[in-house]
Amino acid sequence: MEASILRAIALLVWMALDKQILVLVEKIAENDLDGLFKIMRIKDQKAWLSKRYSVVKSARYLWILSPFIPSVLLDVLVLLLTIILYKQKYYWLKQKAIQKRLLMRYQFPIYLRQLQVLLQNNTVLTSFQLSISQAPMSMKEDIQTMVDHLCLHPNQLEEYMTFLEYYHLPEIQRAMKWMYRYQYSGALHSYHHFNRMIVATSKWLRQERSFQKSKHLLVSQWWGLVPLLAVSLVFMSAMMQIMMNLFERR
Amino acid sequence: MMRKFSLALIFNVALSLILLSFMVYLFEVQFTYYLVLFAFCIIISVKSYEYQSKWIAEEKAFFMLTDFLLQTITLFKHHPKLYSTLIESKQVTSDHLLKDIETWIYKMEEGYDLDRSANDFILKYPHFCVGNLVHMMKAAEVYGNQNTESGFNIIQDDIEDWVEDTYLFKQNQIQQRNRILILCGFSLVIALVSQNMIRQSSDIIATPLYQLSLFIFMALLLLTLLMAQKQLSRAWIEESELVWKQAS
Repeated sequence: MEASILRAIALLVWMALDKQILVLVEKIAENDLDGLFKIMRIKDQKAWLSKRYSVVKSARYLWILSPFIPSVLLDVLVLLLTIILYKQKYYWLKQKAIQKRLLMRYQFPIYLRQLQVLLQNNTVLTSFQLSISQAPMSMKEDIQTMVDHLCLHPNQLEEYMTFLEYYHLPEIQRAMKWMYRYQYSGALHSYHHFNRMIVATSKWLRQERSFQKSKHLLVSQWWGLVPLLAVSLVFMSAMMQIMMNLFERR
Repeated sequence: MMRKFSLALIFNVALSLILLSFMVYLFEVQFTYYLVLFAFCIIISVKSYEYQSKWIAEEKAFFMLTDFLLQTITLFKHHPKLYSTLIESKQVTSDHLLKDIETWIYKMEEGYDLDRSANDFILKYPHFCVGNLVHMMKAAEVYGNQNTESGFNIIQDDIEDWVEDTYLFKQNQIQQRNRILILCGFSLVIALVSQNMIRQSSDIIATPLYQLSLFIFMALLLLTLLMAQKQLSRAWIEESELVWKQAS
């Protein structure tokens, strides 16, 4: 009885402190959450955090069952559920961001290749501008932002370096440095440099392609285990039947 | 063609059913289970045949497209005019690709500008190599052929790499399928040997438990064969490389 009363008090206190806890949740959020928001293009971060907390809140209503389950088990269950619900939304977001990052690793060299083709008869800035209509969907917005900035400051390295920086892919940063140097020194003076960039992009493109393909092979090779498991099943059932026959004889 | 397809399919199904009947006879599986496996086998053989046909069609379409692209580059480098290049390079194509190229040519004849006439083709074949090539040819036609040589070389290298990587991957897929088939064969042999050994000491083959396990074993083998064949039906052109498809 005392335990139930204590739980009811805890529930009421928790409900009363909702706003303060939400502020605390915002403060103790994971370090990489900002980067994940950028990758997933979540603009309203506060709304996401408050949604996260509203899911977590649902765990406390298990305490209503207190008169029916009067044990510490219920408290442990509420605690565990709170932690799981709190982390679950973050892990889901992280998983999605990892998928998007992998896609970016694959699609960026493709985009870079388009740029290299456009660079044959255009300047760097014009190539970026022309590439917008042909660029992969996930990059369009960032390219437009970069082009807008480059129109104002075409020789600023920073404008190149901030492009897709939240993906934390060193290959992208390297490629953008190339583009900056190409823009700075011009096509005539960077012939060798440009060729190097083309070779490196080919290598990168092929690596990503083979990684993607080996992933498919890795998944499908598990089917090879099924015949072995099936024959083990037959063997086990035979052994079981023999033992049963032996027991029946006795 | 249809008749040839049906005959090959019937032959495949019949062969699978004969093999299954032989296995059922060796393992002494009950008639009721045999009937269920028989139905399974028909479905699986038809599906396998379908996957195999898809593989052949995809392979043909892939090589035809890449051949067409390479041929186009070679011809365009020699004579940088899009219309005449398409007229000549369409000779290496057939079926759908030929129709799409003819539509492209028809639109050019009707007076559509370069962008609009090529747009349908790019949307139908949204691989980045196709897009890059079309863009490069348009640029060469509009601004002249200067400085485009190395651009065409890049695209040519990309196409060669693409063909090489895809072919290698498909070979690996076939090898993996064959490994799975060998494992299925091994498991059949192990099950048969163990059954013969057990038969000498005890008569358990007719028991319901053993018969059920044999049924599950065979059904799982059929399912594994189907899944091994299914992986071959994957598209030859990687979805993530279809940049324009995602953008459209």
